[in-house]
Amino acid sequence: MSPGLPNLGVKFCLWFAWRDLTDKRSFHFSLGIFLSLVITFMILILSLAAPESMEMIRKRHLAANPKALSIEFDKGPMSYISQEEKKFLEDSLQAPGLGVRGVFFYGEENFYFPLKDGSKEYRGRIVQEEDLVLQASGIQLDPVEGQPWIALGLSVKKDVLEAWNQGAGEFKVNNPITNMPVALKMAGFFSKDFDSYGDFMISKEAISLLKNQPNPASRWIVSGPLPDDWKTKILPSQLVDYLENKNLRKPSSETRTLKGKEYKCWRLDSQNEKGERLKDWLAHLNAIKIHMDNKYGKSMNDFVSIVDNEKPSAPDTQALSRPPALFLGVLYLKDLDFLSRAIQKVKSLGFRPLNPEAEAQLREIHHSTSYNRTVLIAINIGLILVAACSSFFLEFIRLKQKIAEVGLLKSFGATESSLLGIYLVEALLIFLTGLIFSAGLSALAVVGIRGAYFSWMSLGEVFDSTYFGFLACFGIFNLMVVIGSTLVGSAEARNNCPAHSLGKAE
Amino acid sequence: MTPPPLFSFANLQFSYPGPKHSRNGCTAIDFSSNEFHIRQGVKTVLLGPSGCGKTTLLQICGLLRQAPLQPGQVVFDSTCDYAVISPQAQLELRRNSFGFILQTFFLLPNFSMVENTAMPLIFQGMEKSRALKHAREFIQKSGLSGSGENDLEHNLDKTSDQLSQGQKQRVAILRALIHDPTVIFADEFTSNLDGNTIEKTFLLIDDWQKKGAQKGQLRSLVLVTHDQAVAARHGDHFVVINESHRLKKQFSRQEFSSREAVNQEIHAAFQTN
Repeated sequence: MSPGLPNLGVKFCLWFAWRDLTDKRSFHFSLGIFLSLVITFMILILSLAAPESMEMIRKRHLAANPKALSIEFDKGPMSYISQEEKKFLEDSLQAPGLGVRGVFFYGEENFYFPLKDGSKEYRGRIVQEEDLVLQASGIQLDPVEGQPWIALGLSVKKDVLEAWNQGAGEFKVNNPITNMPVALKMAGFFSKDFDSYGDFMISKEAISLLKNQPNPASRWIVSGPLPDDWKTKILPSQLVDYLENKNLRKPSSETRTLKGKEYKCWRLDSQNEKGERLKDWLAHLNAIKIHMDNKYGKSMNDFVSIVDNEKPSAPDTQALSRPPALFLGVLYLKDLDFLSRAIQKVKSLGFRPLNPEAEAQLREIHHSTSYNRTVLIAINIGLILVAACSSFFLEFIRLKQKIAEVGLLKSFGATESSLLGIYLVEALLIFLTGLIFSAGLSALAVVGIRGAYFSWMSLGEVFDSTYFGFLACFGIFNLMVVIGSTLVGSAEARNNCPAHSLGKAE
Repeated sequence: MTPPPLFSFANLQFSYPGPKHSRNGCTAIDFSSNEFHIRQGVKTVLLGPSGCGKTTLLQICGLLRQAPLQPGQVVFDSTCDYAVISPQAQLELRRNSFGFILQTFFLLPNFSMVENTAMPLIFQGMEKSRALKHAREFIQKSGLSGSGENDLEHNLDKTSDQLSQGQKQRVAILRALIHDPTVIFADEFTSNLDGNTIEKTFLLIDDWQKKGAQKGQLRSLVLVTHDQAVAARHGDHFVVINESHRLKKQFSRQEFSSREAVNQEIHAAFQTN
């Protein structure tokens, strides 16, 4: 009867392998190999899965969250969308096949109140007929040339960037009321750093006008050159006290140079005394007002005026409204696949897509994660090699210790193939238990990470475990390592005569 | 009637391979110009000083050691020339015909006494459960079990590291006998056994030989030992090898019984270069 592996049977090999692996002489080697495999697998799973998972979740988030998958569009720099255009767009963009969930337009209802003397009251301020009032787009300025300030809303960043004529030092915008182009001089430093969410700058002129012309939608005010004593003029001592002692973050200033002139810019942080983050300028002003009211009485009202309702100050005055001046449309899409078509449609209707970047955003995410991924992969390759070497040599030494057993089994008539079969089964047992154990631990860790960290961005989306298919490559690599080490480690004992093996063990 | 030869040796010479370093390159056996036989059905005892080549000769005979042989130098059972024996035939002989009681037991660690005993049966192809059952019965009937708490029957499931040296030795003996080989090669297996157990062991071997005889088999023991008392009591044929690895003398049982003459020869063998 042949003594080869098939006749010994897999059952026998498993039995023999288990006994051999749990032998206390070689148990620490088996445990070392096992732990090496577990650690390798876990590091691979966790480190490689993290950035990829975030990217994947982000993609899914974009697809699942209608607000995330959208195209903003407008008519052009400082151009406003009329109500007729709005209706036309709504009809056109709801056509089947475009994958549109809905269209939304941003603007602000322009409530103003006619006064008896023919002027108007707008937001608590008397507005003369010749005044230019721009709305929530964030631009609020006097059209008189030389007016030294401008307040910019975050949402019109792109407009301003494109409308800015650097040579002339002015913006060209359309008056939303008269629909006539207006050139706006800007006396201040124009910052491209618009995206510091929650911060704003205040110029001398702006702060002085602020009490009369609040624009809650605006978040940025860019200053012009300021005198050295501007702070004391602009900010009463009580406010300085508030900012420097009460506010959880102190104001900071910086000087920037543009065209040979220095411009001093101030930043105020958006956080109230309770440490609550303030979402916008209005909230910040409210926080300041409350503080000043509580501590210094009403004096702050003279400085900062908060307008949060629309009531005429003059009696017997009826509110009039005109159609809102729409400046921004947003097209919400059902799926990422509709993005290109929708962008083309918006363009074909004569509008300007402002963020055709949903795809670009994905590319950006991919770009940002690719670096991390490359570093992680490099680290992981190093770890794999270290783990592979340790697994290899541990298995090698373990089998070297088995040399007497090999000689003994050969004296029973065991063939080389049956011996190799036994030790390969041992190696596979270590490998499989390592794989299963590490996969289980990693799954728990991933679930934990997802619960603690990913959920806020995944919004409860299902974590796609199929991503972990890449582990098969590393599994195969580790399998090759343990098989290779088994072949090499047992080669001498398998090839030598039994007496040689037994003699070496003596 | 003279029993047929078990092993026939003719000008056997063997040196450990490799350059002269430690044992490597050294002559282990030098039976040049010697032709002799080890007979079937007898207990042959190899005697000689340590390092004279007794164990090496036993290993060559048991196919545990590969030796570059010329045809006719070692012939098993009159027909099987070790110079040309195939690897498959070697496996078959080791698996079915030979049993080994090795100098340092070599029990498989983490395997129980029964499992160690049953291992040759498993490698013969017997189903594991059957082999284990057979091993249990064999241990119980062997007479080597002993008595009291340390007897083998009460420690069947203990692993080798839980056994005493004597228990290990008895397991190694039972393991060599369990698959009914035709030749047992025993290398100084009595060192850890008391006189009573030695006697029982040889009773077991006698019984094994008798059972073989009933089947028409001449079962043989090739024993290496330094214990001349054991050799004299149980040996049938004695081969003395001297320090020069040469065959010094062969004795029959009767000759060996003449202790004085034998002692002189053995003493001379130990002294002669």
